[in-house]
Formats: sequence, C-alpha cells, structure tokens
Amino acid sequence: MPSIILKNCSLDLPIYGTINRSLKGTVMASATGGRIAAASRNVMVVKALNNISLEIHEGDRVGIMGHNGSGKTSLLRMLAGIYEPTSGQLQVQGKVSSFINLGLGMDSEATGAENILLCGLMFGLEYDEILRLTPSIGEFSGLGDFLDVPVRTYSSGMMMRLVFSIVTSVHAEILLMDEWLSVGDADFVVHAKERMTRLVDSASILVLASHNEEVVADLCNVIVRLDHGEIVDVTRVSP
Amino acid sequence: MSTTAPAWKATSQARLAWNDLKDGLKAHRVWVRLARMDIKQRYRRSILGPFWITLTMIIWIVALGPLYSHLLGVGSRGFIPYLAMGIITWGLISGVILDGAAAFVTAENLVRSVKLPYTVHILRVLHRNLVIFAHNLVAFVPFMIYLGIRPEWTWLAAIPGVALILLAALPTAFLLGTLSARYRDLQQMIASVVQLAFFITPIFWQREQLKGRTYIADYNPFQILLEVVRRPIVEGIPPMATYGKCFILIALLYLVTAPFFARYRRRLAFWV
Repeated sequence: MPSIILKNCSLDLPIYGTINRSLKGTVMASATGGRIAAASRNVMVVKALNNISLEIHEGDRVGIMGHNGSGKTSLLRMLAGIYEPTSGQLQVQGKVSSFINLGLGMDSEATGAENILLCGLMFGLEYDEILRLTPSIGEFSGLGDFLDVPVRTYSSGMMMRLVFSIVTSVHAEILLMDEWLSVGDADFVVHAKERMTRLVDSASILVLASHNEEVVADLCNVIVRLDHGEIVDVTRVSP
Repeated sequence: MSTTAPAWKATSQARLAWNDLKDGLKAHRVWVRLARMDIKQRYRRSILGPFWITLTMIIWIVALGPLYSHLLGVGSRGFIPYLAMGIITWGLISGVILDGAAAFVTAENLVRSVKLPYTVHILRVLHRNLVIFAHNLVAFVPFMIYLGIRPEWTWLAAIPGVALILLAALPTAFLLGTLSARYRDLQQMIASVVQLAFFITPIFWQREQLKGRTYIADYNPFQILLEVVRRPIVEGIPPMATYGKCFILIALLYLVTAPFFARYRRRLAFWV
C-alpha cells in the first residue's frame, strides 16, 4: 500500500559561494580570519521547506502549487529520497519513479532507445522487462525514428515526451513529476493527462508540481499550496 | 530506484551508508551499463574504437622503453616488460583516483534527478577503469611476441593483485569524490599530486637504483599497489611483506572512509 507521510519536515539548503567552494579559500579564510574573509566563510543557508506535515494515501493525486522558488521542486526531491529532511520525519512506502529533471541524468550522446534501457535499469527494472516495454514507450512518446538519434539533438519538447513516457511506464506506485507538461504540445498534453488519470486509477500516488491551475484542477484531488517553503493551504476535492 | 524508503530518523546514518553500499553492489546492471556507455561515448567517433587506448599505450612503450633502458644502463629485454606493466598498471591506479575524485561531480545530473545509491557512481568509475585497463593489457601482447616471452603460471597472481587495487580504490574514490564535490578546487590538486607520484614511484626506473634510499619505494603506497600486479608478470610471486603492506593500506583507507562517508553521505546531494 503506497503512502507518503511527512511530519514536521524541514529542509535547509546550503548555498555555496566561490570562496567556500574552494579548499584554498576555506584554508586561507581560516588563516587570515579578517572580517571580510570571515563573512564569506559562512555558508548561506536557505530554508527551502519549513515544517511540512502532510499525509498522502493510495489513490491521491496531489497537486503542489506555488510560485517559482516556493519549494515545489525541493519537496519533490525530498519525497524522491534525493534530499533528506534536515529535521522531521518522512516515510515513503512504495516504489518511486520521478520526473524532476528534464534530462533525468540521461546520456546525451546515446540514442533515445539506449536511454530508455538506461533509465529502465535505474528505476529497477529487469532487462527483459525493459525490452518488453520499449516498443510501447517508443510509441507513446511519438518519437518514431528519432529514437535512434542521440538525445542531444532533441528539443526540450521531445525530451519531455521521452522522459514522460519512460517514467509513466515503469509501474511505479508513486509518481513524482515536476512541471514538465508545459513543454509539450497540446496534442501530447491531452495524451499525457489521459495516461496519468489511468495511472492513478491503478491505485497509485501522483504528486505533481505545477503552476498551471488548469492542469492541477483537471488531474488532482488534493491541492497543496506552498509559499516560502510552507504549506499555506490544503484543499481536498471530493470526487 | 528505492523500493521501500525507511523512516530516516529511525535508522542511523551508519546503517544508511551501509545500505547504500549494499544496494549499490546489487544494482550492478546500472553501473555496468553506465560504464559501458561512458566508454562507448569516448570512442564513438573514432575508427579504432576502444582499441585507440591500446594503440596509444603501445606507442608510449615503444618510444620510452629503449630510451630509458639505455639511460639507466639496463638491458631492454628485461626492462621493457617491467616498464610496460608499470605504465599499464599505473593507468589503472591513477585512473581510479582521478575519475574517483570526479565521480559525484560529473554525475551531478543523475544525483539530483534520480534516487540511486551513491555507490553506483563509484562502481561506475571503477568498472570503467577496469575495462580500460583490460584494453591496455592487450598492448602487452605485441611485446610478448617480439621479445619471445611465454606466459607463466605465476602471472595468475596478478589477478588478485588487480582485485586488491580495486578494493583500495573503492574507499579512495568515496573519500576523494565526496571531498571534491564539496571543494571544487580539490580535483586540480589531486591531479598534481598524482602527476608527482608518477615520477617518485618506480615506473620508469627501478627500486634497486635508489641504492641506500629504497625506503622511498618501500613505503610508497603507489609502489605497493603497483607491485601486486606488476611483479607477478615481471619477476614472480611478490613477497609476503608486499601483500602485508597492501592489506594495511587497504585497512587504513576503509578506517578513514567509513565514518567519513557515514557522516557526509546525506550532504552529498547538496554539494554536487
């Protein structure tokens, strides 16, 4: 039974400047200890998420809304297990697949088909499983012959199609998505929405970060509004 | 990637680091694939493909072997295999150090978009360097034929030698990779140190030529790692003392790296 439980989760993101990024700078700063050096030695910390408590259960489609920099992506990264919360408790149960970066750590020199294989492995699939899924992934992405071309030649729309098709095909119980749908053309967005609705029907969790009211209203039954790293509002839409 | 993520606070950081290592080893399909793609990408546009590395190695040995055997006044028949195995093995040692230091920084995109055990990025580097080492070993064959060297049973002792190098490389890559993610100028420093080590390690010259100062070679960690692979091919089974030193070196590396990685693992995603 997939579920996500956050209890008072906070996340501090350190921001490194040029001096504290360099060993020489750090050593020099501690040796000289002047006021300027001392000030630059301190690493700036951004409170990306503050005291987040949220429970997400099977069948929930959560839309996370907020301005740029309100913590949407940080929250997704935390749910994906990439960032660990600085304080608080986080419990994620279920197989996670995530679409947070457009590139998804793909190899830009490799072809689309090779990258399907690579991503499939990263999401924990077996070889034969991926080989079985590859034709349907290729078909859904609508990339056709472009699958045999290095992905560095792809436009961001094409890249989005490929990554979307992969992450929605790996049979994850929890799907985390950043606002990438906006890159696709209208045709694909319709297609994609359909598929996401179907995914959620198969008893899994969707967490979608977006600032597109329409997409969120269409797809989600829980709407979470984030502002400055805090939850300001949670609305449950009854089906 | 993660199937059932544990409640973070309930599990200790040491436990999580250990799980990282275990899950990383289990995900061998991922790092083998990544390493293979790395190599493919490097030689995608060359006709010789991966054997370009082999050819470069042959040119090096042909050019430098006779010159240095003349400079040092030793017969080239014995010296060329010594030099060849020395350079080839050095390639593996320096490769895992330099690539290990870059392991997390170059995988930045991957680290920030998919949850993978950090060990995967390290093993990808080790595997890649092992494959390159295998390609380089092929460069030894023409010299064997030319000098009429026959393989001997003692050569098999080089295989555990390679395993020892990789065993030492794992903690080294973790340590340097993590530090280099935090301090971006460290990679250049490591590169200069490795370059320096290349000259103070007996590769182009032999330990015996140090005369009264053989300690320069005897306590050189690079020499210790070189000897467990080079010596079986060139002279015969290395003395027990060499293996002893090798095990002490590896134990030290793990002692330093294990608490370090357990402590800083969770910060890595912020650093890359």
